[in-house]
Amino acid sequence: MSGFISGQKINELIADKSLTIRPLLESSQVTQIGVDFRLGCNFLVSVQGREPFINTSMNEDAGDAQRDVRLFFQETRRQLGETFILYPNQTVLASSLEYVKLPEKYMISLYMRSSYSRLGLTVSTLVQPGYCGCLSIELTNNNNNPINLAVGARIFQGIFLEADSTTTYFTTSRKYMCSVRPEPSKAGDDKDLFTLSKLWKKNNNR
Amino acid sequence: MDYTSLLNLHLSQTEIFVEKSKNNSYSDLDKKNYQDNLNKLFSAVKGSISGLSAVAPVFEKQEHLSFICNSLEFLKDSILSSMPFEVVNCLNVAMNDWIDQQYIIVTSLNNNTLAFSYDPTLALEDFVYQSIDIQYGITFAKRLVQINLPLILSRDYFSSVVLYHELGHFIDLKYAISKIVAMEVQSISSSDFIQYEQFLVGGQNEIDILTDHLAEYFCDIFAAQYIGKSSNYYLQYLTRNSSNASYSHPSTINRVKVVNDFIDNIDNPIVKLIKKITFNRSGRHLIKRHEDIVSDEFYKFLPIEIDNTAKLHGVFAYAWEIWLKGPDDFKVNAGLTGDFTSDNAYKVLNNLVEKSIGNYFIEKSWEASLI
Repeated sequence: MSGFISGQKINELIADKSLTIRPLLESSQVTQIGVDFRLGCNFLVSVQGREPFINTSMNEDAGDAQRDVRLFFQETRRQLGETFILYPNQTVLASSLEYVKLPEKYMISLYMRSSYSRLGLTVSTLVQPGYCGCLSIELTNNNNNPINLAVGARIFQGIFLEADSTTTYFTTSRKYMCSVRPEPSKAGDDKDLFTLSKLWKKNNNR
Repeated sequence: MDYTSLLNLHLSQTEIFVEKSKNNSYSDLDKKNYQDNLNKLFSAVKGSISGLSAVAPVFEKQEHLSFICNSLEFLKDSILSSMPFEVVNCLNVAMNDWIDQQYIIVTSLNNNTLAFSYDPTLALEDFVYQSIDIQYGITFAKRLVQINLPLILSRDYFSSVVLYHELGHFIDLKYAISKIVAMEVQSISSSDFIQYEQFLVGGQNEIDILTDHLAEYFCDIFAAQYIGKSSNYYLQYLTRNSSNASYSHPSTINRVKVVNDFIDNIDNPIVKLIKKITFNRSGRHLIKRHEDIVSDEFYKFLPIEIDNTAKLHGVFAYAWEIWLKGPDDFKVNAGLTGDFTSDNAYKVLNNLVEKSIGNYFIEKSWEASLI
């Protein structure tokens, strides 16, 4: 994989329609090193309920079934210009205001914009080549104080990286296809969990 | 019977609702003002109830308490987190084509999956508002247009097309369109009535049946202005394309024909009559107000770029057309080689409709803020 691509190249990709970003409210969102993305309208807030933990294993010793991860989140929505308060140590799933369709040769690495990193906010997400949908982000507030965020503010940035060959996004079944709202983890859908559980049973005479 | 104890029971029940609703947080100032007025009204009713025993004033207070509960039922489900604001914004655009801005569309989310309906109480019953104004000096600057929809389908943009029909009921009652059409039909000779007989199978004399059936035809045409023939599909499935009329509704076959004739500009006596009376009553024409979108954007998994309201409404019919062709057609058009099920198509189309509509309003409000 080579280095990041410049704003000039990103603008060329947008112009030849191999990269789509909708809406791109201001052309200045394309910076010299990537694209500034805006905070979207939908949030999944982590909540504690009756379920003791999120189970990403299929082993029965942890309970008789995997409970739906959605039980651990509460959805809340805002409109452009409104605000969302992120509390200390809280993680929320949010999404970008922009709907993005990536070319099959470019991936995005997402970071907070410097001004928001300095507030103690972190994000860690990679977006695969060919992905289409709003970008899902897991925002965490590491500050000791709650932070009030404006919906629509440019809070994170995407650095575009070029792959050494073209990938094909839709040849395999996709968990998060054309998402426009944040979606909770589908870790439990991973097929290797079944294999691991089978292995655990065999090794433990179950 | 002394109703005082029952009125006090009603008061206590309403107080629970009022107290709970004080936690509602509205982004829309109009809804907040309405809620603030309800709080004032509740205090005024509570302060004036003591010593009442005569039947008439007791029932007047009952009316005011019911007004508060009914309003709160809809306001509760109209905060941003629960209200499907993309589709409500579309309905607002449609409503503004027909009426001034003194109304707020509110939704009540119901567990019944067929619970699409319109409740005229809080928009059109003048006497309640007058009574509240006279008794307590409380005036509501805007009124509520109450639309019921199924909770579980609040993100389903295929069934959302039905809401345009429900909005039609508000417009119909506001201008008394079906009532006037029914009176005109009643006044014509039986030989002239023959042209309408196919559509009005209850005959000329039963005014209630006549008005109800004409109201349904009006609402179907009203909705078709915005969503074309989309609501036909759902209706035909739910009623098994029934050829039988009920007391409240014409047969599905007739309803579908009326919509098709309206959209295809085919001469139809019922459509013609409703169009004439609608213009006489409202000063507005029943015309096609949506654009037939020709695009392959959804097949490319992209939201449509919308720059006008005709295209905004047209996105529902566009999604329906793709849906009706089935997932295999989608797969071919999208150039997919992997699995693509009907459920994939359902989720993708709903997401793309939501984002297409959402982006239109985001861009519009962004541009407006730059002026």
